[in-house]
Amino acid sequence: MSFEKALEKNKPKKTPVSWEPLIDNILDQYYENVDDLSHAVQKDAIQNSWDAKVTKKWKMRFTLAKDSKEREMFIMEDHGTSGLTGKILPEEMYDEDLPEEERWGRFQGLAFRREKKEALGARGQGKFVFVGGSQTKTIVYDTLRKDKVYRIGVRRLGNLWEFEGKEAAEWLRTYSPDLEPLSEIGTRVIIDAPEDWLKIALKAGVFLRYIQTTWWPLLLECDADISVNVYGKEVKVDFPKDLQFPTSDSAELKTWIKEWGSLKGKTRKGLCVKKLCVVWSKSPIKEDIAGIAVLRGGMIVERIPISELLVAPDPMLSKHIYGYAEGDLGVQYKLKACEDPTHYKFTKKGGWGHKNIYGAVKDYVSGQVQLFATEKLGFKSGKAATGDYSTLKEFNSLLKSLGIRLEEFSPPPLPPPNPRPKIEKDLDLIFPVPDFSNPTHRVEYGEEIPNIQAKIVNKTKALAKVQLRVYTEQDKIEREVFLEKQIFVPSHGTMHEGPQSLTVDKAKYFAGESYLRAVLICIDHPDFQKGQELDKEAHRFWVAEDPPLGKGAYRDVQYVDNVTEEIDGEVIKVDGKVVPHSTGEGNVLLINTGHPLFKERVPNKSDEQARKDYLVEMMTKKLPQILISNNAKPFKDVEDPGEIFKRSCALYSKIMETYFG
Amino acid sequence: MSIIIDKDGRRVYKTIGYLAYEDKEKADKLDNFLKSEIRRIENEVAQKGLLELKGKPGAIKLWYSVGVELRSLWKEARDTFGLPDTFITYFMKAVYDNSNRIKPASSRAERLRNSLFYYCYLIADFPWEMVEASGNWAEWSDFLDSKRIRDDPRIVNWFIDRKVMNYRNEQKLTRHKWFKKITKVIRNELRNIDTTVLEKNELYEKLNKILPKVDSDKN
Repeated sequence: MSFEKALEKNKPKKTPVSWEPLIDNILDQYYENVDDLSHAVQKDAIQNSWDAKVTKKWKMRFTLAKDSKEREMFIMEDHGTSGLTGKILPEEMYDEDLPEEERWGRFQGLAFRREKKEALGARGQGKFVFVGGSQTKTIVYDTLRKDKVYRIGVRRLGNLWEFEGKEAAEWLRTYSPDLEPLSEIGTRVIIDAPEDWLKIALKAGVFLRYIQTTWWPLLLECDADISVNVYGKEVKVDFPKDLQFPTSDSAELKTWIKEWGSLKGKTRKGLCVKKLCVVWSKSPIKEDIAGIAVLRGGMIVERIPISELLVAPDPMLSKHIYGYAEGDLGVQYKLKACEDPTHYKFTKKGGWGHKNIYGAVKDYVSGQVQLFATEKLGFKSGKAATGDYSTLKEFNSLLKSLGIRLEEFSPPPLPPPNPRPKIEKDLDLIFPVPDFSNPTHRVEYGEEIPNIQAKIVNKTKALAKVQLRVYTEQDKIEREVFLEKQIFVPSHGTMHEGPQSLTVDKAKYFAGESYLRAVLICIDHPDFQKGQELDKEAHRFWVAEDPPLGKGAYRDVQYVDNVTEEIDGEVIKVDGKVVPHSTGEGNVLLINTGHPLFKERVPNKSDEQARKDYLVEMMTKKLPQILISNNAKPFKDVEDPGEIFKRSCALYSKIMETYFG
Repeated sequence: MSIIIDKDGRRVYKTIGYLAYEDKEKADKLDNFLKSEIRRIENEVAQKGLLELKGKPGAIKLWYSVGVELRSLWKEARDTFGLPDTFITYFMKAVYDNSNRIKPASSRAERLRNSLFYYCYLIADFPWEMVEASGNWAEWSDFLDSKRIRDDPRIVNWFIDRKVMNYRNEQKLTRHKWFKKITKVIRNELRNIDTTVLEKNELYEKLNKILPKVDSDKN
């Protein structure tokens, strides 16, 4: 007889389970995410019920009560659900992954998978939070179904009792003479003798607040009927008043709304963040709404702290920004796959070195929050020196020469250092580049372009009457006439205009490519026709956005005095790291100026060459991360960590050889 | 103020400053308004039998009719949706994006400043008899391709007031050849001239001087 057949022939003995430590372990997982387990009680209760919802008249009641025999109970009762459908199953059936419709069996067991894509639940471990909430480690649950089957079950740690019909009703009365069998289709779960922490949360009203801050999407969009009753005093759970999502700015609130934000370039499919809403409040906000909530199926799973989203976080901002990101169905489906069984966070699991969908969403949110902070809240991030842009450009060109290409992104193109030599004319216009504060000629709304000036030189033998016209242009359409003036220029003389400043007004300009143009037109001169364009010049600038992206790995470099990475829960001070650019496209290299390596290699900050060498080396070191996340050569479709490491080293050597060679 | 246009296959909300939620809602409403209005215009020109003229001799009648409709549509869009004057080119692009049966085949019709619908809008400002007598669609289109001519409507006024097309009879040229010639001469002569600084009489005088050059131009 073969070994396999021998196993089949003999009835196996089940693995002995010590339930108390098992439940403690499950509760510990929750304690990693919340200080108060009553938060998990409401989250799991509503999530289970919402998954079983069959009509729009769904409702959920939480009741803390004492019966006539002084038995204290916490009752969670829902209606408008399917009830706990399915049969009372023999024990051996629990070894299999039970189908969705066997809700009764699934509620009693542990570690089942969900088939329904939109379902909120994951592994069925939430009920053990209910057990943990009972001083007697006992829960009683009954259900009335569409087929009029009434059933009751009791769990005390790992032991189960279950009864149907009249027998079930009798059991309920023996538990509490004040309870009646359910008369409406639905399910009731009773936590027997609730723990003090649960009662305190209910009495203090924080339980209600937990529901508000976890389930506000259901309260807002589905008008979900949820109420909390503490010893006879019932309160309906409303949308939290301090969580406002305005559609336009006010003195108190500023908002940033982006719809259908593509995750192209971050994921391999055309997935989108359906809606991102970020709000800044002038008054500090409560800690429980701070950060950007990632929604899945109407539930807030995880809040990303603002400090993790900004390149150079300002502690003050964290107390003033809240919001949410909701993916399209594809994103939500993928998010569910990487959701932790506690429903409090998304795991980082994915291919080695690749970001999963949560990472992609976080990157997108990070870019948008950065943009919001810079453009609407006026927070400026540390600017790179002009020389660094040249180094970035040089580095990206070097990569190109080595055949290393990415789909998109790049450093912003710098204006040419030496403009085309100008042909001198008899009536000449000299229109120097104004003093743009940003080397890329990016100008924010409300910012001034200072030092706009022009010089008109008349080399002819006659007096010239000319018209100088200085204007801005976007999309080849004149936007604003800055100056229009007729000027007399004496023979062999020069006239100056300016300097003046132009404010880029939010009410006048599109975001994007713009030109500052100057044109000199003849009005009266014996050698030229009236209206003749004598000379013209233009300078390009960018309103409220960076110049367009080309190809390359890095878009920007910033120097920050503290850069850390969190690996397996440990916060490590690193020499630098790559973060998404504020536009959501391309990357920024953060260099940690507080790291000993930086201090050793660039002891003198004004030493341009040392800084350039260090920057190139850092960009090379961090390059594999960018290439891997973009599935670009030489890491395309390479999953083996050993092979990735080998290729990373080879790439480093190759770039260093090219640069220093 | 905002309007939706297609850019590289993506719907873009073209707006001044930041896009406020109300602007977005208004732009969505404008988009729906344009969709239904353009469908109405298309049905009307089809019922009049003008749609069949698309791409054929006599198309000027179709595009003039479209231009008349676009003039009142632009006025309504400005009044109802608060679009500023500078948005006219985006408006014409949105018309192009939302059109179906009147959508021109040529790729340059998608452009902003020299879009076919903008040209329709420009010629519809003049009496039909004069427009028809002056040239066919290809000729008008060629004429309006000049930035100088587009930027100074007084040049088209002169063209019509002066009954320029009558001069072709004297030269025994086909209308098409003559139109091409005069367009070329005007373009060359005004290439470096900002006509907007000229008074009307100065501009007309300059253009009158150009007219005899058509004859002397051998190309």
